[in-house]
Amino acid sequence: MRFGLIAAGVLLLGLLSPAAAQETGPVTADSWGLRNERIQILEEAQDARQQERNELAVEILEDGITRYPEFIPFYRQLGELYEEKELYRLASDEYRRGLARAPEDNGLLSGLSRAQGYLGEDERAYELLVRLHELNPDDPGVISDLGWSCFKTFRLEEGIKLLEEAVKAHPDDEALYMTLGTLHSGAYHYQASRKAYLQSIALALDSGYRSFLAVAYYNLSLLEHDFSHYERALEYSTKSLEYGDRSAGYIARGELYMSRLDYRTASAEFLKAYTDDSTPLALVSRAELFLEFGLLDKALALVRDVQERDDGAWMYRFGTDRLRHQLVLQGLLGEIYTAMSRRESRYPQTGLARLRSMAGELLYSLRGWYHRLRMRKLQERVARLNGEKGNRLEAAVRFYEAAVPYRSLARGYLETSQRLETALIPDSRRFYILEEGILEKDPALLRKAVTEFDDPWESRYRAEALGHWLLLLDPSARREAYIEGVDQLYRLNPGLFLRREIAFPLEVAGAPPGPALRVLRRAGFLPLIAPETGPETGPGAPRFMLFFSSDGFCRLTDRDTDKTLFSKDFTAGNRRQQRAAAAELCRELTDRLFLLE
Amino acid sequence: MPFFKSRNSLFSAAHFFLLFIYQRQLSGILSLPLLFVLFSLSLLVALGLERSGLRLVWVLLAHGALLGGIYLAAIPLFQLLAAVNDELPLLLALIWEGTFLPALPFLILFALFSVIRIRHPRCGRVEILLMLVCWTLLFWNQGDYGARLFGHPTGTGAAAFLFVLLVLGLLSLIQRDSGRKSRGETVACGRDSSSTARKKPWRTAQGWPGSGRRALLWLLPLLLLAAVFLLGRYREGAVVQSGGLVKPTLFRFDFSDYVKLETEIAMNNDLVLLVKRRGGSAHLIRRYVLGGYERRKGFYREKAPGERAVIDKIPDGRRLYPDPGYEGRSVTEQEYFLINFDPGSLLAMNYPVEAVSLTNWEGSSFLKNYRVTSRTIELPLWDIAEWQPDQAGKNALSPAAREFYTRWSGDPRIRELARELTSGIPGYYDRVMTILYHLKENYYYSLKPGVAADGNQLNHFLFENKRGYCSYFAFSMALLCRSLGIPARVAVGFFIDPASAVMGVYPVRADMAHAWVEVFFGPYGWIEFDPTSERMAPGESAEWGQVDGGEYRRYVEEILQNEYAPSPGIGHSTEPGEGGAEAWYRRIAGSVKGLARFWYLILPLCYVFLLLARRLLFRFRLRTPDPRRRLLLLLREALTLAAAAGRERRRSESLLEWARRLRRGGGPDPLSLAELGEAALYAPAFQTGEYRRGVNAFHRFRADLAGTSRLQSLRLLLSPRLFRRVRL
Repeated sequence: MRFGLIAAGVLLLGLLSPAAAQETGPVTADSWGLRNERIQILEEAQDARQQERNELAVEILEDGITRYPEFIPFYRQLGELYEEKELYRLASDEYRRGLARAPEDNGLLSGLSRAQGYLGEDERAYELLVRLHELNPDDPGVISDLGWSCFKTFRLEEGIKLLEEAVKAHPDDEALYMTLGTLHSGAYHYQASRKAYLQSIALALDSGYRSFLAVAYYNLSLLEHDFSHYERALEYSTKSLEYGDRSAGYIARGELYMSRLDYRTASAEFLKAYTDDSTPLALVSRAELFLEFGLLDKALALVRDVQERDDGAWMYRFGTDRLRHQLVLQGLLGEIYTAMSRRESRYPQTGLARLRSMAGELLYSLRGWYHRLRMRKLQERVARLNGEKGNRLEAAVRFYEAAVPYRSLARGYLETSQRLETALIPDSRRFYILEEGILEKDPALLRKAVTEFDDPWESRYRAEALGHWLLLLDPSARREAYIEGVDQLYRLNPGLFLRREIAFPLEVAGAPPGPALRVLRRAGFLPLIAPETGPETGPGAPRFMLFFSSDGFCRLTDRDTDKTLFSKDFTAGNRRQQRAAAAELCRELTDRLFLLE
Repeated sequence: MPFFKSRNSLFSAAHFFLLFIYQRQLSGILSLPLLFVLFSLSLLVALGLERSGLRLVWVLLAHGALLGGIYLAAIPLFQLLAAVNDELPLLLALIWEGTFLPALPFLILFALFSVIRIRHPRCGRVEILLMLVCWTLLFWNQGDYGARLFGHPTGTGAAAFLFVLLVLGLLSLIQRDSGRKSRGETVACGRDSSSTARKKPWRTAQGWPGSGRRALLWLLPLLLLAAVFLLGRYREGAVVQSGGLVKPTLFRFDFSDYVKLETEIAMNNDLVLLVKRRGGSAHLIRRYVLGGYERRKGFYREKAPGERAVIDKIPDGRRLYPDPGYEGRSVTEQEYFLINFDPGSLLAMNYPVEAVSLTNWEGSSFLKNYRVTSRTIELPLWDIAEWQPDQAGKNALSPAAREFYTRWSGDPRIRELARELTSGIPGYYDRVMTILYHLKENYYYSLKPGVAADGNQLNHFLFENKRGYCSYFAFSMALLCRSLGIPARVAVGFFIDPASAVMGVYPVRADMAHAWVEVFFGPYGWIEFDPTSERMAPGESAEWGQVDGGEYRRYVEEILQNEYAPSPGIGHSTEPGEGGAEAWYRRIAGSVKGLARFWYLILPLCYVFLLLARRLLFRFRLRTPDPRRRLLLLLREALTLAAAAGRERRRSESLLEWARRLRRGGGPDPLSLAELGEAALYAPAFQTGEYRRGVNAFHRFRADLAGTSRLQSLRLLLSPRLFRRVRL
């Protein structure tokens, strides 16, 4: 990608080019004077821009246009001025105004395509770049930009073909290789993409182009992550940060740690990314992290914050667009609200507060449904767009995600995507086992997925598979396996118990007061009464024990560490007070057991 | 079908209107055409079940089960289409799910309403009440203080107006039906209303004459209550959300005439307006000055005796204001582009000397554009530091004004604090600055100042918790100054962030509403001081909103793309010339121009008022004691109504001929009324008894005219021919 680096000096150099001379006409004494005057106007405008007196610069240029409407550099500079101030509509207008007089001006075409790209008009930007490419078939910069535009508009095959030919003609152009790598990665061509990225890195290392290297290593890291080569992904993202302190590099690293379910490191990486991020991507990643670990209110606040940002110009430089960005946000909102509705039961209430809690649960679940549906509708649109451009795998994956609640429809899409993807990436098989297990509610497949995922890099998916598996398991019939599964899941991500209705086993010893067991069950715990001979030991024994002493105290013990996590006075009078005390106990248990400090 | 008689159809229209509002709320997933199809289907199913004679509970269960069945059966049906196109079933399923499931509760509810109404026509009134509840709930989230349901508040207003019209229409029909019932007629409200009426006499509702009017009597206050409820919530929320300074006007915002010290406020970062500034460095935009002070009320808007009022309205054309000639000021030109602020309210930097209304372009996003030239103080203020109040000079305050601006609470603690702070400081300016820095450095900014135990929020701030937002700081500084005899007042408006401009255009958000202090400095005029601390209270974080770049830049582009110039308005004027007939004319013309923008609301409203006025006039004239004149009035009204319904009297026809023609045609029969009319016209004597017969004949004729078809009743209500004069 080559854009956004137009220095004011470049424009002046452009004036001395043959094209500029042509614009100003044959060189006579008068025309020299005329040209000097035009250049003087341009210089004045540039001076004003350098002094941040942009309104004055606009006035000077507008005046210049009025006096010399045929002089194209005025339009170019005015367009660039607006572009610099991120006023892309105005920039587009100026470029268009210039193009009306010089329809084949490279600078204007390039500027207009950029401005359109920033405005999210990717198709229009593509058309302009095609026109520019027709005028400059051998310009590697134009080819690279067109390749990027192909990636943005799902024309992967077309882009790959274009870039493959271009790298033959320009074997030393690192940018062409990087764009080629990006296009291959979009088409799931791992080897070809990796090769292209490594080639671009090798060329950039020769030229010492550090900022380029930072981007190239970042892209390579994303590729390795997508293809489950996590160690390499981490290595490349670290290298990317060595070459340039970019927020995207921290995000890439944070996502790797999130996949390991390493909350603290991931959180620290996302925070570093956030401090210097001009995009909302760091916020989205943080929201995803909070959601993963059950910190739902924080996640919701972040997503709402991102939603309020209407500015989508940053997307031009990233492999996303307004549709896909919205899709991510709707998906997150759907997950957050659904989790919030499930969380309500983990915090049992009594009396009027219980009614409020029930209403809240209903409201959250309705909101969750609404946002999930919106997400699925957007998935369907993205799938169709991909399908129209021949990206069958991407289309099938998206169609599947949109069709998940309709099992028979989803099955077809899942089969198609599995067939296409495993042919390209055999390693992706385990993800399909998980998806099939979830879709078919098949415990055997889910259990298989748990064992197949990489430890520790794919902990997130292992936890996901375990969570779904536990939901299908009958704890009374397979108590030992259930408790072992819960233990495993708890070690991976305790926050998942807030998001899923997985009964959490607790050994209850002593003399629990009347309603305590019922309230515990309502709060999603699985109270297992300890035998009178004493607490259980061995593989079928839950990790946590809740002991109700006869003097009215209640104690939660972690048998792994042999530590008392908390003790609480549980003396309550009548049955209503006992219920209220039990509900309060459950709320504290939930906080203590599932929420991160 | 009898169901499609006017009343039931209007109820169904009201139901669908509510569904339409609902669709606006969930436009991301609800498809309006499918919603309409589902609504019609649900209604037909409900009517079919009603005809089966099942009990209500079974009708409901069967209705729910049938709709559920239709929902479930559709997905496999869509799948059959997979043979044609493998993407189509998913698309259809998503649209189906997204529309059907959210609409289902409403479909069942409205089916229930329809069935109950057919079986128990009197329940229509309760239904209206329930619909109003639904309507209030659907509009509830407009308490987001932006009224965004229709993209533009006018749309929301129009929707609300339309719904009220629908409700009034329903009420008028109920009134008409009640009127008929009271005359022993049957009303075609459903399949068997007449037959059931024969079986169960109570259903004919012989009693309760004038029920429509009674319904109006309780429904209109309810409507009013709902509106007050919504607006109250809107207003309360908006004031608190906007830093306790701003109040909502009709779907817009403006500053309050007085400022209350709230115990907790929130901020929203909606864009309110844009300002383009040329020259100067002032950053406080003033809306009002609050000069008056009362202990219980706080600072409020009032000018000192003999003082000229601060300019607060945007003029129509160009307006020059007298320049007091304050020293040390420079010219700052500002252009304001109002997005969500009362379009009549003038905001300007201190001190405005000229205001010009600017033209607005076609399709503009701005409510109003205007330009102000102000003479602003430029920092630093070295000269005023030397000034002492005992120095004579121009622009001195009159004794009455000085007394007014040094009026304070009389609380000795405040004066003690002020004296303690300024003891040993002789300079006027230095004393002001000492107070300013005392507040800035020893107090915290907080959105949650807390509740004062004794209700005195200001003292709680000054002497106890030392946390507050801008109004607390401004009140405190103004009172501390006043307690020392330094004339001070509170100003409210917005601040602008000097670093936020793009191409000289500054964004102003709702959370930039601010209060500060103006202190009087003789020849330099009123100088602004901002005592608000920049230190956040411990435990609170400053979550200052940021302007959404996309939205802001779109507005900036719009300003730069469009041409605007001083509006021709009513012409050039200066403030001293204001007053008299010219000013009145200007004001009226301005108001008319403002109102003209809402012609699509105002015209129908005017028409409804004209209809009402005509009706009232008719009733008023009927109060005459002469039975002959009263009957002739009735006869004239009958002829007018007949003309509105397309059964007018021909030029050559006599009254009796006209009546006989209608009778022969099998339509409404005005013969007895016409005969009585002839008697009233030509008989030597006309008695009250005959008039009473005439009244009955008139009512019968009117009911017959209205009852022939739904279209007829509408024509009878709304036809412009009602305003035509008929001959007798």
